[in-house]
Amino acid sequence: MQRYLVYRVVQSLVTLLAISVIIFGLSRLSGNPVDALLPDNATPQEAAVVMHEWGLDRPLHVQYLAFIRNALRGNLGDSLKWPGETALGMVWQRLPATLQLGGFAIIISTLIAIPIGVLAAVNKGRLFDSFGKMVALLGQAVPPFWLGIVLIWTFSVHWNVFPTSGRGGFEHMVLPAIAMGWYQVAALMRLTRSSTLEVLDNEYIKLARLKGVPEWRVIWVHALRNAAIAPLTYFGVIIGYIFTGSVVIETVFAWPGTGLLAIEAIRARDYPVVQAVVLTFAVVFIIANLIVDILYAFVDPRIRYNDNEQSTP
Amino acid sequence: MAKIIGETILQVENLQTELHTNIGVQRPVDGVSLSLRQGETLGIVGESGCGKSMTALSILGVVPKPAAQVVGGRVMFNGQDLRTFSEQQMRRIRGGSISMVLQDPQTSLNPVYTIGGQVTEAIALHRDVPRRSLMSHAIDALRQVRVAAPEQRVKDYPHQMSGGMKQRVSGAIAISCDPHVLIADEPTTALDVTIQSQYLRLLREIQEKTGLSIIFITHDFGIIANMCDTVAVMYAGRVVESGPVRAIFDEPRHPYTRALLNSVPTMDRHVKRLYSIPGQPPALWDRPAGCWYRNRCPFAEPRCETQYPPAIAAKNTAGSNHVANCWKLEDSTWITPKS
Repeated sequence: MQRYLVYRVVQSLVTLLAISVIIFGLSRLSGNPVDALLPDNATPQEAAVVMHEWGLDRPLHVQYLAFIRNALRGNLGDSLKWPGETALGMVWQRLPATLQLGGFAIIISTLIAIPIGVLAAVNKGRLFDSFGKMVALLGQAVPPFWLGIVLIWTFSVHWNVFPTSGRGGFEHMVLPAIAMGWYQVAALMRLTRSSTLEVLDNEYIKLARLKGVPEWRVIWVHALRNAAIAPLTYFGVIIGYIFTGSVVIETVFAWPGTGLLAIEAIRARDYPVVQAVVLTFAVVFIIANLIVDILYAFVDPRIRYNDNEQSTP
Repeated sequence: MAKIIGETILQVENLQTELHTNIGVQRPVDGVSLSLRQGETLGIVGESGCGKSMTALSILGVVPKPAAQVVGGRVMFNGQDLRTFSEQQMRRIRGGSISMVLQDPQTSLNPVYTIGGQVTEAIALHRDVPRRSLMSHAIDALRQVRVAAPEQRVKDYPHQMSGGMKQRVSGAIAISCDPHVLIADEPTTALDVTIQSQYLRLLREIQEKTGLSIIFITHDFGIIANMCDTVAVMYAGRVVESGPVRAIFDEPRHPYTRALLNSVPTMDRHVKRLYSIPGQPPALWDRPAGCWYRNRCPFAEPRCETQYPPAIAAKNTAGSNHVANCWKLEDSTWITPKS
């Protein structure tokens, strides 16, 4: 287990390093920042002075190391649009809102998707299964931004049950969470259904019944823990979707999170903030996947003991 | 070896199970009758697909639902018909009074729970044992099936054990609640030969100690000869011959039984080519009129084509209860000749 953990943590750090190279590289590919900073009539000499001052005339690897050194100290530069704010500071201000909405969406989707998926598998080919298929089909076919607008129009404008936008109490989270989570419900449900079906065919399920285990226990204890492995792996992907999706959903619902921040920063060409947002998304994504892998080992002992640990103590 | 065989404990009468498939309703178990006495081992033998396993599952009412369903017959156990039992009553029978060991040890244990957890689950369901002593009962059960160092093994997961060990764990689960009947569905087919004989010896020892009745499902006549007191030969969802093990081996009356015995390679007979029965068993959805074996039978007569033969008693030297479903038995001296 410890070996597995250490291995996964090291792997995550390597991934993070690779991402930092990509982020650094992409920002250089987008052109010389000096061109955007200086007025059109600046002379090449003036540009050279500014570039020297900002260290942009140094070799790329030196610049990269400086970027990493600063990043490790939590310095990702200052915001260009919001004076007096650091890029990372902006992200930190907005991150809780995104985590709140995203976390809520994930929890709700899971609580809905897993039971529907399991019950659809148990009732394969019957009415409930068709109902589940319909939920999944709609969730995967309807684009979240459109769903968001339709939800606002129906529940906020027409019936006035939920607020149209902004961050507030629970009622503010309902519509954006549905818009964000329905697709995840669909994906997660189908995954749960198919893996449950596969598990239910196993001999150990038959043996559990032959032992006299009650049917609810056969399904929710014996089958579910095995069936959960595939959907659990998918969680890493879901978290990615939720964050990238937040860019769209937060814009539709004017939810003041990092997604909205990313849009605002991109519109203002606030590169340090955009970098900070992307880097933060990457870090959250990596941490989420690390947690998923740890949970994965917790659920499936075959992974837990797969390294050189002795099978007999 | 002294075995005491007592009263009839399980009597299956005309059991029928239907399977609903795309091509229609089939009957993998079509009127099976079996009888098992206390302390006795009954072997069910037949080709794959002849309904052996389905019969076992039908006895316990654990057929794959909703496609399959037990539709007829009686399962008399200790004087009560299990087919009239509610699901809740049946749960008490399953794993409690009648338990089962499945064929493939690699897949019959749940990979995500510990060995101890899986053994204690059965004990908690069927025996009145305080929670804190569950584990020690599980360890006892594992010790009974000769799992080495059971105190440590209970913490292990199935993937940390060999196939033979896992099958012992399955055995421990099966005997942990002191059942009256153990149904072993080809428990040694997936094991290699040395492990196989150890396992069989273990089953016999447990039987001698506890007076357990065993239904042993196999396609291996060597195991039948080794383990069983009586044999039922199944073909296409029906029992075609049954009787004491010696009678079946020495004086098989049904041509199918003889053909099966001929297909077994032996050391004392030199053959160039192993015998195999020509043709295929009839498909479940396409059974011929009359005897279902007639298309493959060298002794088929005109009446075999119209009427399914009833169970006819064989009058022989080896004892009573030897019957076979073949018209040839109307001649009481008939013994199927070796081909």
